[in-house]
Amino acid sequence: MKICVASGKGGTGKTTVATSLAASFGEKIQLADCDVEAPNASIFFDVSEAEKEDIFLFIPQIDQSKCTGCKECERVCRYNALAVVLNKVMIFPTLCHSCKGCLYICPEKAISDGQKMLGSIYSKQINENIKIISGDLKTGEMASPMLIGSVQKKLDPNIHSIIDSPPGTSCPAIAAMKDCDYVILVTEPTPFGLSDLKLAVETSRLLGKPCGIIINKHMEEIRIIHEYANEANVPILMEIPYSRDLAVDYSKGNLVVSTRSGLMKQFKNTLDSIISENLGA
Amino acid sequence: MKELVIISGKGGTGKTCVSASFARLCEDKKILVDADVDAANLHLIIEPLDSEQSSFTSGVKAKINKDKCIECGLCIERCEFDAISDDFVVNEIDCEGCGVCHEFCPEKAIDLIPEESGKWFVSKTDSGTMVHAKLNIGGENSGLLINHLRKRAKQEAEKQNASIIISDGPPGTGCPATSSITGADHVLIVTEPTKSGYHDMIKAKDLCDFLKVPVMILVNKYDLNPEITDEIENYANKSNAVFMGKIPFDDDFPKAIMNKKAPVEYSNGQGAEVLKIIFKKVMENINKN
Repeated sequence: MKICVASGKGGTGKTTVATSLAASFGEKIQLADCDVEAPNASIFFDVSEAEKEDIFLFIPQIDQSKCTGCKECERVCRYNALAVVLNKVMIFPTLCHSCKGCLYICPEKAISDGQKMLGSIYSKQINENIKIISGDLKTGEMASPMLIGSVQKKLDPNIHSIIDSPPGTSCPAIAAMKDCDYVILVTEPTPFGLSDLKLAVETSRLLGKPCGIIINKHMEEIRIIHEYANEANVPILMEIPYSRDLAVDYSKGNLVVSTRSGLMKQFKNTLDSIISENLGA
Repeated sequence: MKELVIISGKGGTGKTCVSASFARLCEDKKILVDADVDAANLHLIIEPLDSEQSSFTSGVKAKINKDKCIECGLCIERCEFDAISDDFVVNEIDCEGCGVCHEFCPEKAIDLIPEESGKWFVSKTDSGTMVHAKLNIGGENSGLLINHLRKRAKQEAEKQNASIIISDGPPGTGCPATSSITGADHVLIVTEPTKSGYHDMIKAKDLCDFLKVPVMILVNKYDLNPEITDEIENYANKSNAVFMGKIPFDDDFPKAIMNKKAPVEYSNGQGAEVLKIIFKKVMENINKN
């Protein structure tokens, strides 16, 4: 089963939840960091000597000796990534979406795969149970969803997976969420958290995914998330109390469950029930 | 006229708290932008009094005309985004709108339908004009929408003779972040002293270097981990970035947000006072460059 940890708003505690779930499960599990623009899950594990694989995408490479300057490539490209100037094709790699339209259209077969590096994927079996797979987008590259897809292709479908998603509700978040079986939405009890939670619930519903909420930085007296959850009929899976102590632990790169056995048990129970209630559903 | 964009790399470090505070503190004529079109929050603090709304249409989605389709399979084969199912239906979420299927369909059975990917607004607020947007769920082209907002903000700034544009940026370092800072005059990175915050701040700084935009750095909740705060300050001083200061962990900040106020208008606590000093430093740095 694939479980996505998402949020809408950034900084609500996705990585805390994803790493804690993986570390608490006590059985074989894969943790995929799909927040490729700001990947942080690896910080909480020893990932020295992780296996590294670079990911490449198609970009056009022009054989100028074959090119006749017919401009067909320029016409077919909807992203303005090619322009013909004085019978020479100029390429703007950051605009290219790797659709290969130019490759197929060129009547002179003057275009081939020029391969641009998109980013890297790091994989490591941390211990008997946890395997981490982490994507890291190269500076200046923009095609996060493509790299997120590549990270997900590395997952063994026979082992449960936790996906640490990027924030937001646009293409990168969708890419992380769309193949998952369940979505955990991490939020905080502030107007910002609530506003973005609503968008995230809409997103998981649009994709037809069951979802539940984990409230981070929970304070007993603030009920805005509970009120919304009740109204929108979304279950609250867990509450993580507001604690400066926990924030300090996180800041140091420590797994917050490693010194908190009660919290660890809560995470394990949460994950166990999600799996038993949704597996084969 | 100068354009200042506030980004962070990691989400939730306090971009909107800082942006809203700057909006309240800035006495010069200014235009505000919320460039976090995925999860816009600035309008929750700086509330629009009156908005002019427009639809943002960009890009297309493919649609297969079943009457013409002979199920030859060329579209499935050539779609790099696996957006066409085995029974020849386009999945709108996966479709990138590249038009390859439309171009090569031998029966001309695939149409490209323009898609509304969000709405954008020019609003009056009691801190001046604010340009902001709401991307539809799963909407494409957030980068283009951000470019659009920035262009509109510049027009407004010229029209109103404003001296500064203050832009609340998106998290991350990909397409939306790149679109929000390309060609800007100054970037302020708001970070926090956590290993994650530090790591993502460096990724954001690398992006600014790549795009040749000068960087200022500010640490929020600095006393959460004074050692990492020192590391960030050292990093800034060794690089070409300018260190603007550090804000203490202050319970008044979340309380201000709960009350839909910028921290500087909610309290006179330590955090708010430091933020006022930092605002002055940021403006001095902008005006001397």
